[in-house]
Amino acid sequence: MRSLSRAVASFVLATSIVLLTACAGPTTSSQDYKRKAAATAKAAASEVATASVGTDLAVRARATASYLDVTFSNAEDGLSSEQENFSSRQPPTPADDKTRDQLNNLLSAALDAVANSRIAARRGDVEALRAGQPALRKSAKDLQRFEEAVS
Amino acid sequence: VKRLLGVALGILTAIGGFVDIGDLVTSSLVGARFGMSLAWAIIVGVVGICVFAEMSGRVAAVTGRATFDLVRERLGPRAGFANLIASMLVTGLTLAAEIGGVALALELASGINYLLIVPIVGFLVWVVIWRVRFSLLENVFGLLGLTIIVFAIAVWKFGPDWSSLVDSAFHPSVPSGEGHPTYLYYAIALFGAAMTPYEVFFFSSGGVEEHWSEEDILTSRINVFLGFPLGGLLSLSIMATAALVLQPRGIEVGSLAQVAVPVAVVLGKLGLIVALVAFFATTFGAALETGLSVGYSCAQYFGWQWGKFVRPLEASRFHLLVLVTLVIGAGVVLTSVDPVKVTEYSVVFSAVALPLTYFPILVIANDPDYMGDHANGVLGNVIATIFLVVITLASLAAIPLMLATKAGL
Repeated sequence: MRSLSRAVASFVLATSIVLLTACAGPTTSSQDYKRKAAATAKAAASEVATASVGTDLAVRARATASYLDVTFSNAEDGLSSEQENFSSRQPPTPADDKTRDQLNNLLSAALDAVANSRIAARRGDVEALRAGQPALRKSAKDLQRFEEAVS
Repeated sequence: VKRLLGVALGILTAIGGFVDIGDLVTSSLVGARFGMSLAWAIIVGVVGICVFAEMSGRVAAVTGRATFDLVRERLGPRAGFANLIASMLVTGLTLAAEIGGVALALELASGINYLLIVPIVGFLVWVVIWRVRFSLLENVFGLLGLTIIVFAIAVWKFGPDWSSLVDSAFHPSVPSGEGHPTYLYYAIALFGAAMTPYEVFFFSSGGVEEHWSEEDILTSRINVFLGFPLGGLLSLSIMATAALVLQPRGIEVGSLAQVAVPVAVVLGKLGLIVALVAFFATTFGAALETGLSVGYSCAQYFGWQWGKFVRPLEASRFHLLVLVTLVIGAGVVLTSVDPVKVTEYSVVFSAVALPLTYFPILVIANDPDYMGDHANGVLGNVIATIFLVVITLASLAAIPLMLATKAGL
């Protein structure tokens, strides 16, 4: 019986640890807000870079349609999730509103660029994919610059 | 010739069966973020799994009994039960990750949302466990898993600067922008992925399923000491592809699709298709192994009839437990929790549970009452004890590091 209760306690502890590490913590200062903004920009740049590689693969016919579809959808979902998480954070001071606006604009531009690529890929429109490549590259670069600026 | 073929088949299945969703995700994630600077963690993990898998195989061959069969008898019911619960939780979590991995692989191949595929995967895993002969399921998925070699081919085709690649692997350092706690956290994750407890449950129970005797000790050793290190090389290849293709582009791995990106970039459509087959084979094979391992460990502890060497009717509780575990595993993935996140947590919790799995194996392999002349020698004991210390340190550090780094952020 004691072994069983220990087992239950271990399970509860493990679940608590997972929840604790999975939850977004509060933003306590401007510095903390900037650090979280930088982390969001880095994660978003990764998603845009993935979509950019996906576009390149699609243009050169080096990947299957299903794979590209999932890759673009994942990148789009990842970006939406990053934007949602960041938007839900309270900027600690009015001075942080600028950081918030800047990153939100970059994330929106990134989402548009990735969505355009996803739509073109589903249509098999290679020309539109090719035309969307500069926007993806610019978006990834802008996010990287932002990350470096606020880090 | 037949014996040689059998040995070759064993080695190939050990190589193909080594990689699972934990290795796929963790190796790629770490390669994209830390380059090859954590390759040492895979190497240490592979040596560790070789040491303890050899022992568990020897125990099975000499005693004709599997690990959990002996743990309760040798360590008593209380320690045995704690051991059982920990291993069932960790293996159950790994099973959920593998089922998610199979569904994600099929999603990449078909474009159908993985959540719609999960119930089918759960059903297929159950049917294969229920209907297919042990040797057949072991060999088919082990051999099919060899397709993961496509990652090694991608590294070769990429034509990297080999000296720089090897140098970065043998002169580990924490990359700029990363903290030491995060570096150590991922070292433990790689170590946990390489030494996942279910691998030894499955290996030793498989030995009993295949009626190993003392004559099979050599074959078992060859399988372990050749098959596992070669399997480890495939994990290193996955890490290398990520370090070469993803890291320079700033891509962090958060999905199975990203794991396949380097292969598509280097080898194109054909390479990508082989990689997707490999994802399916390795994760499906591991889902079979983890599902069976949960059944093995519980049935062996309670003394139920178990295994596929008897008809399902004669091992009904074993098969019922496997079925229930599969339903729970599929249910966890159906909650829409990210399967890649489940994988990341499962490898770290595996590391936490490692001492509970490996300490009893060392105790039993040392006991002359069970092992007779085949008990551990001095050298074996020294190496195993060193590893037990490493395993214990990793186990103790895993949770604090998980909390301190917010699971590797």
